[in-house]
Formats: sequence, C-alpha cells, structure tokens
Amino acid sequence: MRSPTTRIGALALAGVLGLTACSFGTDDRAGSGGDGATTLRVANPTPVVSLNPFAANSADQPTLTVVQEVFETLVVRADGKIAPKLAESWTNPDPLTWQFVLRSDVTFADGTPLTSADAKASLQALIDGKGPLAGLWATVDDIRTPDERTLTIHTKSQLGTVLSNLTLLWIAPAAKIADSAFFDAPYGTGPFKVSSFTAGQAVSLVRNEKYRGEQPKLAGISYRYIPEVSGRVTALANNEIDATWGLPPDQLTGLRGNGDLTVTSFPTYANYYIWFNSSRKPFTDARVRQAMWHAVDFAKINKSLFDQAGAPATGPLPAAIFGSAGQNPYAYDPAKARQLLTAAGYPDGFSTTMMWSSGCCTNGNSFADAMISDWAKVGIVVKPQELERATWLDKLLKLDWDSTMTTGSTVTGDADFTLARLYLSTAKRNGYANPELDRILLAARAELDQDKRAALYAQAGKIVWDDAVGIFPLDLNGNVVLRKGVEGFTPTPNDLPDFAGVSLR
Amino acid sequence: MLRYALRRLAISVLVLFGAATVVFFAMRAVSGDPATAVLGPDADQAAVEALRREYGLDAPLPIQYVQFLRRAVTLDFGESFRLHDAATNLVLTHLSATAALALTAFAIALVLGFALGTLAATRPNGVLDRVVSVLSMLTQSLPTFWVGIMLILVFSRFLHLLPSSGAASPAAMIMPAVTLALPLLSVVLRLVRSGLLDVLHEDYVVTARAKGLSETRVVGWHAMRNMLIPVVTVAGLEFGSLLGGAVIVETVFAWPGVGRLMTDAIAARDYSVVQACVITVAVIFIVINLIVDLLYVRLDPRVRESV
Repeated sequence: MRSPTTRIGALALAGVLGLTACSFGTDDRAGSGGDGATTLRVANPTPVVSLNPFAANSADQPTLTVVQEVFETLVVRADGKIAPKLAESWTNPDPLTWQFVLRSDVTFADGTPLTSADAKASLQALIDGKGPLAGLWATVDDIRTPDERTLTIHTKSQLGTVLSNLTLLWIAPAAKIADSAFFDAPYGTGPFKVSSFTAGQAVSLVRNEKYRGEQPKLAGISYRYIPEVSGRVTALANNEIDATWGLPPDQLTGLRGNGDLTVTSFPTYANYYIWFNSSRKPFTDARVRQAMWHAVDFAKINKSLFDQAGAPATGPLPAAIFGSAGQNPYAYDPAKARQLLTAAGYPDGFSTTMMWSSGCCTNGNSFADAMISDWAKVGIVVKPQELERATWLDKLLKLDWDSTMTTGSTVTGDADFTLARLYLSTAKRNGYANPELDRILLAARAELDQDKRAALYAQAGKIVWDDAVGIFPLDLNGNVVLRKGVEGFTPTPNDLPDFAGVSLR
Repeated sequence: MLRYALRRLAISVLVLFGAATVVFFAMRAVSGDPATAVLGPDADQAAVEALRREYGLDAPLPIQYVQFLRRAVTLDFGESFRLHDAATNLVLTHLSATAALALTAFAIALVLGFALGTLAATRPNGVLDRVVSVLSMLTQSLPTFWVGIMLILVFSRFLHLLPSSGAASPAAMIMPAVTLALPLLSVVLRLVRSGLLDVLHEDYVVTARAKGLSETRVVGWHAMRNMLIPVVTVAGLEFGSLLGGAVIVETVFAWPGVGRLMTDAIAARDYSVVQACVITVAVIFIVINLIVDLLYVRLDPRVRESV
C-alpha cells in the first residue's frame, strides 16, 4: 500500500516537472521581408561590445564583423586589389593631396543622401576617436569638401597607405556621428541596419530598405555571443544557430564528418609569432634569436597541432597581405642552434621566460609546451608564463618580458599596418631598433607608387625575418562552419565573416 | 524584536562597507591598467591618459576611494569602460536573468529536496532511500560545469529536446536551473531525511500517532515543523553559493546574467562594473542572512523568547 507521504512526494515531483516542462522551439526566425525570407542566426566567438567604428573598438574583429554589414567604405580591398565602393574615382592632384569623387546614387537608411560632408565627418571622428586606427591618419592635416561629391584629404608628408587605410573608414551620417546614442542602433548605407543591440550579448540586423543595391536575400542577421566553444558547436549541431566561426582545429575534425554542416577553411591576414625582447639580454644578440628558431622542429609541430589550422609561414606577414614576400626558411637544425649559441657566448644555453595571455592563441598551451621541450634540447630552459590578458598587456607595453607568444592580424591587409606599427624603433614594442629598417618602412609609407611600396616591404620583411626579431612559424587559417542550407557564403582573408550575400534554404 | 532587527541591520551596513572596501582595493592591486585594457596595445598614449582622466583614474588612490564611497551611497558606480553604460544599469539588467535562474534553481532544490527527502525518510534503507542517497552523493560531488556539459550533450545534442544555450525561450531555463539546483538539492534532501528520521522517533510523534492522526498530518505537520530550522539555515546560506555557482552555469549555458557580466568585467579590468556587481551580490547575501535570522525567530519559539 502506498503511504500518504509517498503521495505528497510524488505530487510535488510531478508539480516541479510540470512547471519546468514548458514548450521549446519558439520561432525567432520569422522574417520582416514579407517574401518568406528568414533571419540568419549566428554565434560570434567573442562579444560585440560596441558598434562605434570610430573609437576604441575600431579594429576589433567582433565590432567590424557587424559594422561591415551596416556601413560602407569609400574603397574596398577585393582579391588583393583596391576597388571603388562609395567613391567612384580618385586622383592625386599633387603627392600630398588625395581627391575622391563619391557616387551620386547613395542614401543612408533614413533616406538622406550621402555627401562628402559625411565622409569628412567620419574621417574626423576616427582621428578624434584616438582608437587603434587613428595612428594610420597621423599625417593628415586638412580634410575638405569642395562640393557635395568631392572629398580631398591633405597630408603633411606623403602617405602611400591612404587607400588601404580607407578600407577601414566606415562612412556614417555626419549629423549623427557626435551622438553616442546613435551607435546603440546605428545605420549607414550598407545592406542592413541595426534593430537592436545589447553590448556584450547580442545584435540584431534587419534589411535596409533604402539600400541602393539588390536587397539581401536574408530578412536579417542575429548575432549572439556564446562564450564556450562546446556551447557554440552544440548550438550549431542542434540547429539553434546557422553559422559560427573561429573554432579550434580539434573541433573541426569532428564537424567535418557531420552531414548537416559545411566547414570552410581559408587563409587569413593573421599569423602566429613569438617575439624576443631585443633590448634584454641574451636576446640583444641576433645569433641567440636565430638559435631559438633553428632549435625548434616547427614542421613536426605544425603537422601535429595545426593540421588544417594554418600553413607554414613564408615571411613575417601572411602571404595574402599586400607587401608580403617569401623569405629564406629557417631549417630545423639543433647543431646550428648550438653553434650560434656558442658564438654568442652561451655554449651551455641559458634560462629565460616566455609569456602569453590565456586564450590568445589557437592551441597556444600545447604549442608553447612543444617549443619549450625543443629549446630544452639545446640547453635553453624556458619557463612558461600564462597570464591574464590585462596583466600580459601591461607587461608587454612596459617591455617587462623576455619573450612572448601571440597571434596578430593585419586588419587593413596592408604590410604598413603591421610592420610600421610594430617594428619602427619608435614603436617600442619589442625592444628592436634598426635605423635601416626604420628608413625603409618610412620610405614605404611615403611611396605613392604601390609596386615600389610592395618592393620596400619585401626588404623590410627580410630584415625582420633574417634578424629574427621574432619567430614566425605559422600563417593562420580562418574557419566558418555553416549549416547545410546556408548558401552563397564567400570567405575573406580579413576573417570578418560577411553574410550579406548569403541565402538560407 | 525591533532592537534585534536594528542591531542586525547595523552589522549589515558594516559588512557592506567592508565588501566595498575590499573590492575597491583588490581590483586595483591586480596588475593591468583598465584604460590600456579597453583601448588595446595600439592606442595612442595621449588617448590612454585622456581615458584615465575621464574616469578619474589619475587621482590619488585615497581620493578615488572616497569618491567611490560617496557615489556608491547614491547607487552611482560610474560608467563601464567597456560597455559604455552606467554600471548600475548593467547590473540591474543582468540581475533579472540571474535572479530568474537562481530562484528557479532554489525552488527546484527545495521542492524536490523536501519531496525526495521525505520519501526516503519514511522508508529508511528501502530501495528508494538507497537510490536517493547515492544520487545525492553524486550530484553534490560532481563539478557543476561538467554536469552542465553532460546535460547539454544528452538533452540538446542527442535528444534535441532543449536549447543548449541562451535565454530566448522558457525551455532554455531548464538545464541551467537544474544544473545550478543539483548541489543544493542534495544538501536539502539529506537534511530533510536525517532531520525527519531523528524526529520520527521522538515521543511527541508517537503521541501524535497514538492520537490517531493521519500519517500525512504526523509527518507533514508535527515532524516537519521541528526539522525546518536546520534546513532553513542551510538553504539560506546555500543561496549564496547558488549565486557563486551561477557564474559557472551562466558561462556554460551562455546565460546573460550577473555572473557572466562580472567575469567579463574582471578580465577587462572594468572597475565600475566589478564594484557594482560585488556590492549587489553582497547586498543580496546580507538580505538573505537577515531573512534567515528573522525566520528563525518565527520558527523557533526558544529564539523568539531570547530576543
């Protein structure tokens, strides 16, 4: 016989289960397009904390991923070449002046036509915003708008990177740019506009009905941040999202076998590098730095750790970047490493440290372990220091480190962005100072002839590589994983997945 | 009773002041400059300095501290460096998500804990009792993040029954709430079981039975009332660890709550948000402790006499 207490318990249990067993599967994809179009649901690997492309986050991957669907630039980089976008043509009346003629058929999502005043206000906002891209425009001393369709940019000294820099100058309406509330739900001239934004969590885009081109096939795009890799993978496999990107290589192997998903890998502007602090002994000696490189069997490590996640580096910049050039590879040669160490006065090796910020790098901890074990074989004892990002950054900028491992991206796709930003002796980023390198980099920046500019970066790259300012083991591949039915996606080397041209079956 | 409440309140204010002081200095003792963390390595030095000035980080520490306390009294914790919104706003918007999660978990733990504990106690060493004992040992010792991931695997990945993350539908609440509830559930369950077993042999229970009262009334009224005190104490205290567990659960399930806000803010050295979060959580802790203390008075005539 059942006792009354059993019945109480059973009732309570049933109550709780009933309470929690609400229905699931509310359809959040119903489109606003009225043509049966649906919203693409994507999960970004890092949170979007701001949609303001002129301030602190102007070079952040998550911010740019969304911003590129909303705003447009004067020019774009397509297949490695600069092509017109909002500007239809440009000239150099003299080497210090750049004149752009804007298209006449462009309106913002609120219906107001695009004018040169908007372009001027946007450039001014980027310079005044003092974010990471402001430095690209340091030599600009005058911006003018002779008429509604003409923009002139005047520089104090010649600036050969104007076109590359413009690929990250997003044009926003001049009347709104000073209003910080505008960036809570911004609109521009691009195919989508922002309908809602919760910083750090989610962004929703809907079609910009005023877009001059063909309307997107999607009704909108909804981005949400899922911090855990396993969470994103499950959400994708479970049809809660249609796309995600930036997954670690060990996850991709499993996903390639899933018939519901398509995995796309592609070369990017990002690479891995290990810097030595050239202002600190023993790394003041180039032979020590070169010895570190020769001591590690990168071919073997790449194969075991980065199967399809990257390609062996051919220079200090990934091959897809303007101005990158192939350099002489460093062979895995422990005997040569020992010779170099002996010549530098360290026949028995030495002890040092290598820091990195946790989560900085694909397979970072395993990679560090592998390098450290190879270095130990030639007598170099490297103590690993995995730090929190803010702490790492603090030490990095104070040059308070021996060596550091990190990954970086050349967001403009132009060698100047990385080489001049990091390797000029005035940058003080890695303790390396070389007047010859400075001369080449500054000459390259001032060169308006793009072919000559590329040749100068090849020279600069050779110095950075041969002098082993750092070790450059790997160019990183990006990856985007889509559910079957997402069609028309084309990856780009800037690794900012662009879903504007995508359709959903 | 009033004096008792007032004294408890005064102590609470002191505790709150202590928490505020500790979080203020602890955040600043950790290396890493917030302005640099926000602007990144490529920011212009002048921009970093400007941001430090804008947020008052260039002032001497004691002055910053006094400023912070003065503004905190009016619930103004300053603006988030990272999310460009008032820290108080951010905490309040995220708090509702955490509160929903924590309260649901609390309810699940209490209801199931009482139900299973009672069932187990009425048939000590029966099959159900043994199963429940083993399960409660397991749920208390398994790490929360692991349980969360396993639930996702089973109910999302394989069975496609529940959404794996986010807070878009009511169903999305089930797995995070259950994950969060499990450790507390096993504590409540064992307390209820052992408490009931103790009192069921007391004379007054025998008397109650002898009076011919139904078993439901004996267990559910006479016995239950006397084992409530330890359960209330522990449940109240455990509500605090529930909030701690929420940090992990919110990350595993991408639940947009205070826990996630706080972990992201700590990583970004977003002082104002960390301070607002910690003080909010401290207030919740203190209020719960107060409620527990006052409930005691209500539940236990001996305490009522003494105050």
